[in-house]
Amino acid sequence: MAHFRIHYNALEVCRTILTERLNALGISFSLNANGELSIHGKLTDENRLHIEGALQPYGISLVEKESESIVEGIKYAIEELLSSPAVRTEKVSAYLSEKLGYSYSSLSNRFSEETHTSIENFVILRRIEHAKRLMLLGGTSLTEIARKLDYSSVAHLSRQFKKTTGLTPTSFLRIIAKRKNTS
Amino acid sequence: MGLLDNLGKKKTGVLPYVLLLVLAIVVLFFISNASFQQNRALRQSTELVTHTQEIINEINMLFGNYSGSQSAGIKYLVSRDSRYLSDIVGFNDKSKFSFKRLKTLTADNPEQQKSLDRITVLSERFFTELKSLNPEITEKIEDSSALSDKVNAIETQHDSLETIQARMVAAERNLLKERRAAYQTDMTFTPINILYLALFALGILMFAFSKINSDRKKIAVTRSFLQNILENTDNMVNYLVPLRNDQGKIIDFEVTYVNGQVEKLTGRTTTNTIGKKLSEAYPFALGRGLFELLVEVIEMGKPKMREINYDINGNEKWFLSTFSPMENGITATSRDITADKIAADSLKELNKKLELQNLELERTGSFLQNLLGSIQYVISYFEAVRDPVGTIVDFKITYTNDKITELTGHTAEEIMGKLISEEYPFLFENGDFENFRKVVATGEPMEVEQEYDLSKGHFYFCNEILKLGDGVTIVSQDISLRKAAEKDLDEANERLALQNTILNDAESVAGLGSYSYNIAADTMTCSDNCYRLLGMVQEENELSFALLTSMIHADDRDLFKRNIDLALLGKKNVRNVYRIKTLEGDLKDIVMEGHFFDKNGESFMVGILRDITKEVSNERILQKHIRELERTNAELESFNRVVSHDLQEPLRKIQMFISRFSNADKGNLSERGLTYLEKIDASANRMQILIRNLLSYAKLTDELESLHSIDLNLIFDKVLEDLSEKIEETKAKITIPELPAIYGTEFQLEQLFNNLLSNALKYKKHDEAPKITITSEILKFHEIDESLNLPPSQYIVVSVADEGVGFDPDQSENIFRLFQRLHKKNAYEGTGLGLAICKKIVENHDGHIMARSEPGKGTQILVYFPFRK
Amino acid sequence: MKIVLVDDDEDDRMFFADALQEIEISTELAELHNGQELLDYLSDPDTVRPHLIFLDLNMPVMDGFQCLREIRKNPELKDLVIAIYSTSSSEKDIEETFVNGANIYINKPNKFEELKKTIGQVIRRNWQYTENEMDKANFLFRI
Repeated sequence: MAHFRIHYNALEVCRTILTERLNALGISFSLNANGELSIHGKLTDENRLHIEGALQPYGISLVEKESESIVEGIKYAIEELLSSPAVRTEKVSAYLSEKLGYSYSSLSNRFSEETHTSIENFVILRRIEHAKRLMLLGGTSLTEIARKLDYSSVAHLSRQFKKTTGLTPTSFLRIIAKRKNTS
Repeated sequence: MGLLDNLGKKKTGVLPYVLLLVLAIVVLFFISNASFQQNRALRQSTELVTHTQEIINEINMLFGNYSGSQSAGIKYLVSRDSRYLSDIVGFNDKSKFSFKRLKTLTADNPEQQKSLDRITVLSERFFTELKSLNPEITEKIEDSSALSDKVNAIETQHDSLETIQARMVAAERNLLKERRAAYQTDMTFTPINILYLALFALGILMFAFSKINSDRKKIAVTRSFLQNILENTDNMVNYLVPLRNDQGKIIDFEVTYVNGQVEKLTGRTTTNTIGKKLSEAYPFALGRGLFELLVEVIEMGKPKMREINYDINGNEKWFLSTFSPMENGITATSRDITADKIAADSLKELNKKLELQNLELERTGSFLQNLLGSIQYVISYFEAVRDPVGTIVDFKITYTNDKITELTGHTAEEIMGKLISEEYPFLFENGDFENFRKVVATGEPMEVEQEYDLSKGHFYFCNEILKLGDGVTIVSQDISLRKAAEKDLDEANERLALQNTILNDAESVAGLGSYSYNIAADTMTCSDNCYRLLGMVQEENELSFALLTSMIHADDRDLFKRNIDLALLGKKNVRNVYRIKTLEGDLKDIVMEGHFFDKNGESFMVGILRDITKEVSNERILQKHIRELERTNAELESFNRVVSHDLQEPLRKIQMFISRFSNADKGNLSERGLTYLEKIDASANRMQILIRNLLSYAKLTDELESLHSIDLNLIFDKVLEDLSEKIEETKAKITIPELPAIYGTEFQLEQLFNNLLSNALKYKKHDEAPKITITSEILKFHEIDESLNLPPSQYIVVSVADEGVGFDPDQSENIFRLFQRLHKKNAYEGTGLGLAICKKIVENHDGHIMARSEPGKGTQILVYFPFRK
Repeated sequence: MKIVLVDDDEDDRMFFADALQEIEISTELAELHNGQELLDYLSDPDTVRPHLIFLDLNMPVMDGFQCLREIRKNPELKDLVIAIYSTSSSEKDIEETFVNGANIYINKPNKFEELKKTIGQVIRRNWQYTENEMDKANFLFRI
């Protein structure tokens, strides 16, 4: 008879099971390093029962994390804000408090608590990600991108890009282009 | 002597002799044939005679039998002896045999045959008669009459036979007689005929022989005559036989005959020539088209004539050669026409000279005519006027021609009879008077050129003064025009000399020498300075192309020759550098330039030689310095990198460890210790900045990438981005207009303007927010201060102006030096590298950086970049 | 959170470990000495895949550059987040590391506080990318 000792990573095991079961239900999710699960999109009660049912055999259960959903809501709202040109002129703070029905300060506190980042920083990060995506797609000038993402000027965009990523848009593009050439 | 044998044989002369000989042979044949025929006829005649004789004998034999039978019959009748009867039978048998023989013998004679037929009948009857004689019959014949009848009958029978016999014998006798006569004839005539014919043939042979013999003699004479001619002729005679290869192609000729002249003219002995190949016998004849010509003669079978010149033992000889095909070879007869040629040439030359002389004469003639027509002569006769002692004191003008009017305005009539002291007083001043006196005194004619100011103008005259009686004839020729022309010429010469001097000076100053090389004639002419350049004295050495070639350094000579050959071939312009060892022994670097042109059908290569020894040596020194510099730079760079990088590591750790001092640790330190720690920290921080700047300064050299067009607006965007914190912190107001693009390297330009803006932000007045203004303009070259010494170009000038603390304008150069700090260490942080880096970057871009400043008012940094479209 | 530091310098490893400890994020640190060790470590089936790798450039045996290229060649490892952790080098060298597949470039700071701050920023940024499932291919960050 052979005897072994098992080394395992609980989170990885969990991620594998979740991926398998939830994908079967057509539900997309993300699992962070702290074992916190976020379900993308609207989670109906019925869906929730399905998920709990599917995970029960593995001894995995969902524990309610109240503020989490609010953070998700904020993130979702921010994504909406960045991708829909109609609402972008509004102030982020006003937009969020109206959208989620909480005061901005409480939203901000909750967000920082959960994500270790301020909403402002998150918005900037997301904006720069959007800018990157547009830049990589090509066909859109920096001026246009700046306008689309509600920057006052290209310089403003460039400044924020540099501040956020440590690189200028130009060097970013150059690096991506060179990567494509080398691979 | 085959040739001579051939020469003696004339084909046309031989034919009759051959015919004659053939005739003789035919005759001899005829003779032998005739003899044979004659002999045969003789023999036949003999045979015929014998034959006839035989026939006659046989006839007699036959009739003898008959006669015997008759007599036997009669005897029987008479004797009644029956023995006689058997005799008859015997005679009958014998007669029959004879008859048969006779029949065959006379088979060719129908006459005799007819007789024989008759005999057959008669003999039968005769023998029937005889056979009837038997004892019974005899018994009956008792009576004599019957007997006599019987005997008569037999007699009759026999007589008839005898008649025939007589006829036959007569016929044969006739025949015999005829044949005898014919035989007689044959016997007499045949030998005579043969004799005659033989004599005739002999005659022919004799004739032919004597003819041939005389011809042979003639040939011998002709041959010796020819030999004599050939040996004594001036012509070279050769007989050449072609030598063919396997394909029948002529590859050479063999000399089979030469005459004595050959050795005389060419020095080639018969042993050298006869039996030798043409190419061996006459090596000097090779390559003159002779062989081809000979082949043509052979192949066409037609004679050719050609003038050919040969180089025989160094003498040029001309031969007029005739090449005639003869038999299977060629007779080559060559006449030495060298003398003719020379004569012809000198004649030609003479003709040419004559022509030239004629031309010259013509020219001179027409010139004279022109001269006479255009040049004016004044002819005068001055008669001496003497004082009482006999001294000539004046001259009287006794004659002058009309030409004088054109000079003085006076007519000849007006002048004649006057004294020269009245008419031409100036003759006493210019020495003419003395000359006249001298000529009168000595009688020696004089020719004097004199200048006169006459009423019609200024004239030059050439006066020929001749003594005539007690006076002088003066022929004055107006040479004013000539004088003027001479003056012009002098002036032109002077100008030319001046120009030459200037050119020489120019060449000398520029270190140039010019040359002209006549390619075909291989002659070279050079300027004075060219000689000087090559270390030659013009009077001592003459520059030739060969001399120039020999002066080229041995290592360069092949190249020189190759280049020149190529240039001459293609008539291409050349420019090459060679080392030359001058005649003075100096080694010089020379540029040789040349181009080609044709003049009067001759090709020239003209160009210059330029001494670039100094440039080349400077270049070498420069190259050496550059190499040294490169090495030093490389060393310096690696030193920089090593120092900066490797220094940074321990420094970073020092800083790290200092920062690891926790508050608790610091609490344990004394106040002094704490101060020391802070000082260590500050020093380490300063050192870090210093190293970082040094590193970036050092990197500027190896980061020189290819320049490309860079939008300055984007550069400033980036710089503003990088400095945004500081800008926000100081609340600086920065004005940036729309800027042009320049050629440059992005990183460096970023660093440049980053440093400049940083400085502007740093050296602000303590109480004021910095105000920085960027401007740019494009300047034409003439708009730029000359003292900047910039290479000609348009420039983009970017100005960064602040209203900060400024500095002493005297320092405006120093601030760009390494580690130059104008302010106290503590007043402003910095390493003294920023502007040095800026200067280096600008220089990398072929630009210029300068500063203008006034303490308390601000600083303006101007950066010049070459403007490229 | 699992972090790997690859650095041959003992002091630097110490600074890094100290700084990581002082950050209020629960992490697990594996310390390696050169690129080859990292490649061996990653190819070990027992190894739990790290969330973040800090990679020094100048190292013996196998330097950071080569190691980076080796990792990016392996399709299984291409999603690994790699932070180059090096003393300052030229802009060109920095760009080269990005081109070769680095996500983050960190100049080794001179102050411990700075180091703490930098590590914290990097971890947070990485976490944001992971948390929000942002495109790792475009994850470029320079401090």
